[in-house]
Amino acid sequence: MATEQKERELVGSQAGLASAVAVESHGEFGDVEAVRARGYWEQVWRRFRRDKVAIGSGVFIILLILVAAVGGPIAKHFLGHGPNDLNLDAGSHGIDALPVGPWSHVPCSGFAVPPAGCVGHPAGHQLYILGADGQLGNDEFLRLLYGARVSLEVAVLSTLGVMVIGIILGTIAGYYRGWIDTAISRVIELTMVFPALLFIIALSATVGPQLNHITLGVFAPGVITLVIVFSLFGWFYPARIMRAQVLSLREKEFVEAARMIGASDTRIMRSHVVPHLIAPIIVYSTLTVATYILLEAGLSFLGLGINSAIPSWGNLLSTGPQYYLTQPWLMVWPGLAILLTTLSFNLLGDGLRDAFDPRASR
Amino acid sequence: MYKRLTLSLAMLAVGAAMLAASGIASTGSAHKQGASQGSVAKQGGILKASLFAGIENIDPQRSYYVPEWQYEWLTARPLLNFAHATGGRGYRLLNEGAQSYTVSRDGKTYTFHLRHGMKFSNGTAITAANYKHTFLRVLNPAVGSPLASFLTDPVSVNIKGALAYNTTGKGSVSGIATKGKYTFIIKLVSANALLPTLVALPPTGAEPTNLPLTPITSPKVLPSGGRYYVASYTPDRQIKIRLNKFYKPLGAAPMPGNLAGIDYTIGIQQDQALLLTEKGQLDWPADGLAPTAWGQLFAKYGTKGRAQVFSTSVSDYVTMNTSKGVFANLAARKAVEYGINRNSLVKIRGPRAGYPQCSLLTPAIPGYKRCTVYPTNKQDIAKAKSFSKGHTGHINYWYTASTTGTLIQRLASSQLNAIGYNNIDYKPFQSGLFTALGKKGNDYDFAIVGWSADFPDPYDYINKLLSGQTIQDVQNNNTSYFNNAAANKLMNKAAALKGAARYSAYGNLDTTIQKNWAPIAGIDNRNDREFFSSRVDTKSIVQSPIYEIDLGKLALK
Repeated sequence: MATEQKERELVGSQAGLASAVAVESHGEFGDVEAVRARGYWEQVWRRFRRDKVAIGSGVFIILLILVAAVGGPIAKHFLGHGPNDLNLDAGSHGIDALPVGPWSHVPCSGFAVPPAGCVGHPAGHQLYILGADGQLGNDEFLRLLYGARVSLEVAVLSTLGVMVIGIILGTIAGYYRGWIDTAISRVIELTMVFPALLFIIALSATVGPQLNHITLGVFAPGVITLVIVFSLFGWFYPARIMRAQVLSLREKEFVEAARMIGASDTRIMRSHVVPHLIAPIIVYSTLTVATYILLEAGLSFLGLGINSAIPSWGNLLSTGPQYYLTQPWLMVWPGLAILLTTLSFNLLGDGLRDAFDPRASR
Repeated sequence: MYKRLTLSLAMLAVGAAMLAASGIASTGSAHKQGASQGSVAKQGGILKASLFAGIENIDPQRSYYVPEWQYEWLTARPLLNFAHATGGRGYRLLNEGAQSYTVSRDGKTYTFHLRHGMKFSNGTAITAANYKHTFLRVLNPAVGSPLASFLTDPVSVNIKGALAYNTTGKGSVSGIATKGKYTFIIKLVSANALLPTLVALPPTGAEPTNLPLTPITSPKVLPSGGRYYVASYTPDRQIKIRLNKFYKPLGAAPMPGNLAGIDYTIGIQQDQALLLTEKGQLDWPADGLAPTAWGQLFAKYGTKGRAQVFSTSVSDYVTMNTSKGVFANLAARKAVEYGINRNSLVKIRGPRAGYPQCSLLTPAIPGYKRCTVYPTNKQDIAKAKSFSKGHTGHINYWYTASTTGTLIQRLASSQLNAIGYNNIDYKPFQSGLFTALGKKGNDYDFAIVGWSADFPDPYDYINKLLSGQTIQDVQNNNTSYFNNAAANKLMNKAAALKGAARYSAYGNLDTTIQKNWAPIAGIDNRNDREFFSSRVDTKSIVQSPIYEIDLGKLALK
């Protein structure tokens, strides 16, 4: 402290830039430290780092992914029962025959099939942290954790699908222009106006059960079906964004230079145009994930999405209204999860958009 | 960035406040409404009812669903009728359209002498020709009446010429004749005392002779001879029932009719129906409420006021397709008998839903014997697995996609999984599950359905649901397609008996079929739970042992 004060005292107002630099960099007076060039990504990170809300959202999302990946199985292990274990005593309790509330101990004897925690302890009890989710007496807390996995799977995979299709078609349309652009733009418009919800209803009534068998050994039944549907009907928005960006980029000098040295159109699009789209891709991806989390919840609520036996936030929401006068928290937990997740993705997207744009004001 | 977050949080707070305010407002209005209701009963008024799934058939000769028969009991004027009374007295047969009837010495010819002066709701007279036309509609294959199989059964009631007519639709039915304007004659192939019961069913009520011999799907008005008539019908939207001003008892026990009419609104969800009934905007959810509703209703209103519980003849059971797939094998069917938890399948329907049982007959049906062949209070998973071992495979599980149906499907699925059946495909039905199961050659394997007595006789359960001789292309009631020669012989033998011997034979047969062949797995004897608005006079809520609620006796305050 004393040393810095001394240095400041020594530097007068006529000392100039060199002295100011020396003070800042704690160098010797007269030495001018070289200004280090910062790369594009470093600058983006520095701008993003200043946005505490976006950082917080990012941390929440990382924690959510961890919870979705391992939180469910860990909780299942310690609680001694799973998200699909039925306990009718927990689902219909007391004179009102309502599901048990938060922090309830439900008897092992009520389970349809004794879970791991009840084997050898038929007179024991199991803890339901957030109570039961409805009449079948599933654990609300565990279904919330496992539901995070399903919701994120659908949202992330669907985002991947729409971005891949949207980037490819948007880039082609914007780069080639002419009749290719016209044709792709008409397809975009047709996709925009197609009644996707009616198609989803028709699909679930016809080939839905067969499609739900496609799990690739990893996903829950119904996830792939939703991903396919969302990808087929959601790509038009990023396609339009990419098309607009590429229409501008194709006129840049580096594109012309690449063309002059004989690069093919495919190489130009792949190596010169698409890398400049990374910023909008990342931003719109985060916003799209939030949209599909809401969409999946909505469809599952309507009974058109994930089967009710599979835990998902939408399915949890669909059972809540039956108890909204007596146990409103059954709507609050999944609603809060959806709200916080969607909000986090949106705020993260906003933060990334500001970070990628050097002209954005704080 | 921070402004955006603040704005988001502010909108969240506003939304939560609006939600809370609407909740307080709705509670307040419900309390106000309750306080202002008077308690004076009255004649007249329109009862506002709802049906979630609608009705399958407006055609009176095709109807076969409890809510349809509930109002048809009032609109039809059959030759005989069940008494409008509770308990055992509700099973008594009274003369209705027929002033009297005689039976020939050989028991094969029934002669009905009609009342003079009966009229339809459009003022035209009811004569013997109208009853003849009704029976022709019942037996005509184009109409597709489920009652046809009751009147063409070689081992039970078999009207002369009816089977041939029901097969080809050509010619006439020699066993149905008229003599003058007011005498109607039915001739049977062989004597059977069940005929009077069958001619008391609502689909046998007199019909105008201009009704076509094809299904009626959307009539504007349906003239009928009973206390009420269908005044208006819009498919999937509404049905309006109104008093028939031309109805006169003419010596018959008067049909009750306190209400001026009933308005059914179709398509109201069960949760919505509960809220509307509590607020008084709806008087009666005719096809029941979600299981989650009953605990709170019984806690709030008890079981003798606006919410009521009645025992019924309804039997819920698992139907397994014995003609193909996994359940063509007896061991697989026995695995299900031991593997399903009947107690939990009853409990999932909510409080006071019924009683677990493994028989098909119920205590309301003469001949019922308590089934002890399979466990009713819990599963025997070890024994079930011993039967299912080596007999698992793919199952097509069809179910009704109502709130209750979906819960039952999930619970039953977990029980099937526990005994080794993990390869299950599900097909939900918004309505018409039983009709779909009844189409021969479909690919279902497993379903849970319910059966309500058409009339109080065990034949209506055992023969109708299990006899292989009733199997046809469509409209099958034997949805397990069970066709065993030895079982058929026993059923035919029981159908020929009368009185106590008949009922005893059927009681034993119920147990024998479950034990030896297990084509179905009995689950429960279901109760009827009803909830009415504060507008309804609770003293007027009377149960009919046949039709659950006697709508004729219902009254508004």
